[in-house]
Amino acid sequence: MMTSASNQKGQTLIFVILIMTIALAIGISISNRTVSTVKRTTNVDSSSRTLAAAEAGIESVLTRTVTDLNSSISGSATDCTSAYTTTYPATSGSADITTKASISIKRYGCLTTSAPNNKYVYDVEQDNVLELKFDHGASLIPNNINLNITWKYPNAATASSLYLMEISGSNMNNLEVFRKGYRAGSQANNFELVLNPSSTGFNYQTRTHPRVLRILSLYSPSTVTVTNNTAGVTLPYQGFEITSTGILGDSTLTGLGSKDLVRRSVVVKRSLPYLPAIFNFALYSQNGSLSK
Amino acid sequence: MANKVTMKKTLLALLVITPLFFFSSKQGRAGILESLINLVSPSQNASTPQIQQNAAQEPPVCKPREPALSGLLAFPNDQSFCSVTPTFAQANVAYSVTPSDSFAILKSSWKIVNPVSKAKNGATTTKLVTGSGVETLSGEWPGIDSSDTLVELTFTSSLLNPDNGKILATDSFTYTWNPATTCPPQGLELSGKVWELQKGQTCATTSGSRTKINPQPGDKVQKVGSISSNISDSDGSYKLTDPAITNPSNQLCATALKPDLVKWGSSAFYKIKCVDGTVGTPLTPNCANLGPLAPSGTYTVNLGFEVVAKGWTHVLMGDIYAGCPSCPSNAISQLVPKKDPTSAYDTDVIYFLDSDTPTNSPSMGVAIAKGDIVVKDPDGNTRISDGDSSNKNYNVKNYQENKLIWPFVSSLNQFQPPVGAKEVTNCSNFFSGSTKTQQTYYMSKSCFGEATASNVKYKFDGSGAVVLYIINAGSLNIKNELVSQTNNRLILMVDGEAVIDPGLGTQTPKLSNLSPQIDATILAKDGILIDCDREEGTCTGNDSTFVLQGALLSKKDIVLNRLRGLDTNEFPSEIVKYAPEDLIYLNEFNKDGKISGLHIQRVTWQTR
Repeated sequence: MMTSASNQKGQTLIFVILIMTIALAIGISISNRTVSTVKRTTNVDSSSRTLAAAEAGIESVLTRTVTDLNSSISGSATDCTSAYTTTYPATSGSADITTKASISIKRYGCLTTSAPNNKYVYDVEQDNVLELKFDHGASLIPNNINLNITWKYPNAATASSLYLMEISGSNMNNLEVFRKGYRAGSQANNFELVLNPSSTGFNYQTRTHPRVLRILSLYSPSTVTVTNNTAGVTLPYQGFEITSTGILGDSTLTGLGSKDLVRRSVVVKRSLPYLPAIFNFALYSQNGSLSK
Repeated sequence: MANKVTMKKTLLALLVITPLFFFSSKQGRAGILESLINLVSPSQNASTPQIQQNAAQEPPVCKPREPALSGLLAFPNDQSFCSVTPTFAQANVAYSVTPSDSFAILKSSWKIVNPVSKAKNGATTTKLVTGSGVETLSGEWPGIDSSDTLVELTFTSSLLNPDNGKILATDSFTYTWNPATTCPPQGLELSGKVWELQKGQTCATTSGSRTKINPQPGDKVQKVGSISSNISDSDGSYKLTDPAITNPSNQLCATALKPDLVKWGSSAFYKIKCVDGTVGTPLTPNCANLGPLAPSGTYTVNLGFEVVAKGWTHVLMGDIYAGCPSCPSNAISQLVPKKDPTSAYDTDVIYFLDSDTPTNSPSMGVAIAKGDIVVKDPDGNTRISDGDSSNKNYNVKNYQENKLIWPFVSSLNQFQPPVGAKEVTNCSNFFSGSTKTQQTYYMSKSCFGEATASNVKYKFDGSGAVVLYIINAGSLNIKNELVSQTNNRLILMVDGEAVIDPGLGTQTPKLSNLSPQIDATILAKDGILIDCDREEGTCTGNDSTFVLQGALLSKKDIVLNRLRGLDTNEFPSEIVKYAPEDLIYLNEFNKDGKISGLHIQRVTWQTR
């Protein structure tokens, strides 16, 4: 059998080309990976910087007093749509600072009589209170307020009970206290039984000139939903919602180009200050008896 | 040589006789001198013919010299004597006459020296005695009455020279009884009746109207340190025969007495109030002091006991919580009086009520306890709240362990003033009007003492409340009234224990017009003590009602010690009226950044 030497020319070239192709592919892959890593690192850094800026913006607001915040926001105590915006830091700092926080502050908890802004949802830990304030702002609410209150609890086997305490009255020298208990489970305690606590709940009408309604959750945590059913009455705010957005690359804020824009937001709800549950009590002994 | 011997004898004789001479009688001295002369000239006497001359002559008549008359008398030492009844008492006196063949006169008498009311001189006896002997004397013992504190019978004897009546010797002896004398039983009997005062009765209640105590198995009357007697179920009588007496103080105690549990509750107790009969005065809580007792005789001691109903607490407009981890059966336990329309306390006798003047329908409060809640009246009716009759009281028994816990808010937990609180240096002026409201202050215990050295009607500059921290308070005794002159309120944070003095109170509180002794919400780190009037450490049951407008909140015990006693137990012993304005004022507090250290602010975060 005879072979032609000329037929074998080019095999080496093909082999070389194959090897070079494989090497090029590997090189490109490595290059892509490196670029991706750098890009990811940059993103993480930017994200961290913007998140830090957003958190710093929140902290700057949390140090301000309730009076200060409320007066900064336009509108009355029942206006939960107006917002007050600011930036943090307020002025440009050193050249190294390239992130800022854009802050928006609104009141929250103003309950109108129409959905969806007629509901107030709040998680109440066991033995803690949810306090609804009706008396801040310019004047007292004169009318009896009609509320519907529903609640859920995490474990069906351990139903929570709600114990309401309301302080009302226009005269500080003659305030009234009204209390009532509601239950969903077998822990009777002479509390009123609510058959469908999470759906229909119970209706509650406040006294005249209500000031404070405190809802104590017993036996279990509760997610309490308070719905305002009072025609023509919007309930005042219960705290502030602060949205702080850390921004990197917004030329209007940071001076950088918009092509590098990175945003991270933190939303914080800050309640009005309230007293712990022990202030419901006239006699409270943590470790002792009240026997004679 | 003979002279030398004579000299020696003379010197010896002088040495012996000189002291005898100086210490002897006149007659003795003559004898001594005579002997001395004989001694100093023995040779003369021996060699001189004078004797012979004398013998030859008519000798002089020499009477034998009579020895001197002397005597001794001795009674035994004084002794105690315990005869309660009059009797004759004997005493022996020993005598000795020297020379033994001589005679002397023994003269004896007795006298009742004490008690003065029975003082008496007995007849005097005389007897000629010789040699030695013992004479038994007899005198009248007057007996011992229960009123006696000292009885004394004294015998006196003297030995006299029959020739000249001179006293040769004398001695005396006394029989004594006083309350400290320990006497053997001689028919002593203590008896009487044990009775229970009914409401409104006094110790002067005639015996026919007295009610015997509630009989219990094991009820006894005991002479302390001696025997005891059961108390008759039928008439409440007892009798003790020949108990040992321990003069001067004898005590008679009734033990194991217990008022009717159904009527008064397990926490009520008996306290002795009346002791009548022959002897005795009340010695609380269950004993009579009989004083000294004669060793025999019959004494009547009637013991009258009153029921001291444990006081009860009235809480208005507020809730109650007792997290007692060690009292599962009585975390909240009280006995309230029966509902009485004629009561001087102008509302229902209830444990707590939500509002005294509700415009709207009244509501209840809630009592939450880790253990059981037992609040009943003497008829066994549950009286925890005004709604009991309609079964609407709220009480959460056996609440889960360690759930309703003291909040972990730094200042509220540690009782240390928050940053920004102002130190009070002008203590005496703190409550007088210049202190700004809606501020937090702190002061020392001594500063608080100075600020409340007398009754205080406080007022502040502006409306609202003041939060005052008392640092390192230890045991902070609040002795004087602390009431609001205007509409200001005080929140008192005590880094220690708050003690309400027994003197703070009112005898006849009126619900319609409560006048508190303290206008404040008191929070105390180490407990709150509403103290009682005490006698030897025990509450007497004579307390007034302490009224506080505010709240009492503590991480530890709240001890409600006041007792009104049987006759005024229709009044609660403590009244705490919740002050809702405290909560409203404190809510305003933090709005302007004035940190009270008491608030919670809920912050929820969400990252987008």
